[in-house]
Amino acid sequence: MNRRLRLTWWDFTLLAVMAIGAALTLVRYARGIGSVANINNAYPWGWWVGYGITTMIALGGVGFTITALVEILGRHRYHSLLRPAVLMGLLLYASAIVMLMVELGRPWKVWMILVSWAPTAALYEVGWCAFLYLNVLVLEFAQVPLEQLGFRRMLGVIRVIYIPIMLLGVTLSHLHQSSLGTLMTLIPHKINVLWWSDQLPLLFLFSAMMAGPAIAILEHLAAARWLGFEPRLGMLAGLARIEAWLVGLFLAFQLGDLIARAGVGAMLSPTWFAVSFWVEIGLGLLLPLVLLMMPEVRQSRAGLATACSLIVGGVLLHRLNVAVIGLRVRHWESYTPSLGEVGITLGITAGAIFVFGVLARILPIHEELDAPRTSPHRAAAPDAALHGVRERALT
Amino acid sequence: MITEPPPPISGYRIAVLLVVLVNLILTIALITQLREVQQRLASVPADLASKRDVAALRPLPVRQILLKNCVECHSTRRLGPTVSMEPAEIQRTIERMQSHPGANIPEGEVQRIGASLLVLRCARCHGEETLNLMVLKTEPERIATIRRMVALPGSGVRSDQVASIAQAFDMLVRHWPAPGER
Repeated sequence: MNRRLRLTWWDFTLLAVMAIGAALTLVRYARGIGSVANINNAYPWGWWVGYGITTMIALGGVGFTITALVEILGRHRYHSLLRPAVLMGLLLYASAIVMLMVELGRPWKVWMILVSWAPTAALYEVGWCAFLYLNVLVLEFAQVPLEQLGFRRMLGVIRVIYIPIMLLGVTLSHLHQSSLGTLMTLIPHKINVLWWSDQLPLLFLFSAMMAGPAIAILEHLAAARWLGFEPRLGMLAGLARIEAWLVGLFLAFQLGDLIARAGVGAMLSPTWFAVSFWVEIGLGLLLPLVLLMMPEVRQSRAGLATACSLIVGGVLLHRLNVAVIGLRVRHWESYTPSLGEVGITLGITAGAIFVFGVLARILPIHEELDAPRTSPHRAAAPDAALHGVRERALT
Repeated sequence: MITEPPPPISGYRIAVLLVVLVNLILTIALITQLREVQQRLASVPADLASKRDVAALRPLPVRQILLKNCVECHSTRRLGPTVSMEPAEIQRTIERMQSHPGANIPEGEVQRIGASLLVLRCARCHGEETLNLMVLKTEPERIATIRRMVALPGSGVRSDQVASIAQAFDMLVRHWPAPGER
């Protein structure tokens, strides 16, 4: 383990954003939710739920998708993506739970969901599964620090139970990713026909599966640029091909469901709902699908980064459309996220990136850093960011 | 080792592929819309509107007139005996009711109440919808219809009452109540 970490300007920027987010959170607890948020009775969930919880959870699907791909489907070619994926999943789930604590307002009461027996409630299932999966992710990732700290006995125990834990994690992910969609099926009178469907549980699950490889590719490219190793473009091209299939199948499923529900008229009508739908479909699914279908894009860093960013943006817009934009309200009711709402979510996101950046530098998360450095490119990060990492890579 | 640079990304190919996919989606959407319209058309009945539907657009106001002017004081059963009364006797009864304190029957309503009570005798055999069909007929057609009904056994209407009943229908058809009165 590299214990000589030096913070860079990038780390200080993230810390500054985190400090702003923490200050806003203090205001939220001291003066109430109305002092920082614009949410109201018409839009009770807003940006915090649309981005801070449902999107974070969807992006956290990177953990179970890459685990399933490598450990269950046996695609060991993608093994180097496993540790970053599990760590990202852990941090994104933790971020969503922190966001939930800020939104709910009384975090010391959150344990009550675990002792309140309500097996028919969708939110109960989401709460239990997210809690269990977070623990599973901690156990999955714990191997890395335990290995570094030399706790061999504990590491041995975790390795013994790794297979059932991994299977449990994949199962729990399927359960709560779909349960988030189940939650939305409870309000058919409130969500526009373009997004409300009794297939929302499957749509949420499939969109999380689609977001997983996209996040993994983006992380690999970003880490390669930041830490200065050569990205495995051949491996990424293979994953991008799988991602193209996932995007295509999700697009077919979403449009097929819309046609089956006789919602095509709403799709072609001149409304802002239809505009938002077409932006989601066009930029979030169609364009990345086209890009990923092209071999030259799959072999290009910029092409992969663009396509995967569009997919992640599409998943974000889909969740926002279901939870915020697509809500049917009276014409005078409106909602715009306040600076307080955005500031707190940015602070939490910055925290997750900061922790990931620190752990990526002090723990052996990227296998590429253990291999000889062959990149002709200079690392994008300042030298201080790599202090210690290069020593580890060269020894 | 010199790595070969990846082939350039063609914006033209991206645009063409995107247009093809959007076109595919729009085509499917339009076909779906067309099928929905076809199904709606197929579910429309062969006769868009029957005579009864047209007559119901401006039905005979018998019920409204009697409810407004008679049923405030009398039960509907009390109107039954008028079926066997002569037209002149009906008229006299209404005029007598008009003189009762608190009856508040306007002068213009007397004729319409009389006409409604005369038409009521047709309701012994026919329903309200069937009686409404008379609004679609001309005066000679109405007279011919009433004569035909009178000739039927057990009609309870004499042939010398045909003209009075036809006039009653005529009055109710011509004097359609104002929107506030309906």
